[in-house]
Amino acid sequence: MRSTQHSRSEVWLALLLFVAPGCALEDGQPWGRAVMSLEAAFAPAADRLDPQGRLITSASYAVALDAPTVTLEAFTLAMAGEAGASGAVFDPANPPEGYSLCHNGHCHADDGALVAYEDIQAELDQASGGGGGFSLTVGVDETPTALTATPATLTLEACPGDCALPRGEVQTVSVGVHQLHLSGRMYDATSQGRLPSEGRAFTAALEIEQAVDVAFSRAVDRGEPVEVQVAARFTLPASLLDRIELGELLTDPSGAVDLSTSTPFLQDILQNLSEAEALEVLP
Amino acid sequence: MRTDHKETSEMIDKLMFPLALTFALGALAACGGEDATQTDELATELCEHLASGPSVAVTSSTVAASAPDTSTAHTRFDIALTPGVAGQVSYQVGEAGEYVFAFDREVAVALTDPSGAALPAEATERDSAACAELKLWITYDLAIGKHTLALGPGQDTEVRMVVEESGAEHTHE
Repeated sequence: MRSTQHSRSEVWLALLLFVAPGCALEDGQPWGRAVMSLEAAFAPAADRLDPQGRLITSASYAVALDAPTVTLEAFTLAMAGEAGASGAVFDPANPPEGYSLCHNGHCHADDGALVAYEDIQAELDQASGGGGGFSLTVGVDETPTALTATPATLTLEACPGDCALPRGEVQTVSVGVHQLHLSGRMYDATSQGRLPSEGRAFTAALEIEQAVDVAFSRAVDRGEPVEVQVAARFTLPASLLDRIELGELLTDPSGAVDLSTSTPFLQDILQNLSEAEALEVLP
Repeated sequence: MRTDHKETSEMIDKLMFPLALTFALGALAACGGEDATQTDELATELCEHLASGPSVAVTSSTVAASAPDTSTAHTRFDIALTPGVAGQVSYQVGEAGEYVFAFDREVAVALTDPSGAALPAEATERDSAACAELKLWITYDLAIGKHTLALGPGQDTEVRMVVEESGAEHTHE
């Protein structure tokens, strides 16, 4: 009999130890906390490169690119869920006015009532209109990053709200592409003579100002780990220069070509960037 | 005892062989069925665009360098031809693979790669049961780059063409 009671208590203890680390409702803890990292690369597949290592475009230009540089910004997790709909996140360590002593999933209201965390979050949502989604945006160091096949780790700025996430579901990860600098030499890979046989040097400093995103599903809820790991990689797509008739962009028949102010070039770049899967969340 | 065991093993072998054979044939049939389904889906896709578009009108060129681009996916190109002259259009490939060029009528087709070399067709089929519009469809294995199609010469003043990547998942945005 004693033996049975002992093993039952052991079972309960084991269960408690098993569940406790996964519980997102420790005193003063948010529902979730994002742990974010970001890297960037440019790694065209082998069939995108000619024997000289030049990038082949769908329009059959061969482009010997110097390492492109990119400036990223606004690394963002977008959430949907009943909590945080307004963007105001309930933080048990810093409860809103009228509440105190938040622990074990509830706070003490000034009128003495015990109110659940989710109800307080719902009040916050309602107070500010609600209906939207919560997003957490982390700034990215603005130093241009040279992109190579080996991913470069980007430095992130301090995470607002200590990266706290409300209850709900992370649905999208995105990053803003602020600037892109390309330079190199382009050649005509056809026999149509669209460029001089020695190629043409070019440069382009582009203000991209376009976000790229990727779907990412991760619940932030009771029973889920508090830490939400998001390791994302931006890969400059190999299709970046596809469909661009580079030969037609040459206005000056001699010397290096500066495409920084070419609107058609920028529009094609934006189009190719939006069609590619430039962002991924690493497993 | 050993004899019993041997007999049992032989019995199992006898029972298992037809079962394994049935399973293998079933698996093969399933694979074939999948291929057939993919072909049917592709034919349906081609028919849909040949019949309903969306369509873009282009005029073929006699010079490869100025051949109009016909690379937009899920689009029917209504290509104007000059009778007696081979008209050229271009097709850009951003992802290497098999592509099907479908036409609403019989037309002579010659495809060249970016270097100007002629590419042989992987397969040529005619008169689909899927729809009346799908008269001719030719499969090519294409590498990344700009290809040129020469259509004709013939007596037609127009041919309608749809190009789809073969075997790829088709999604309409």
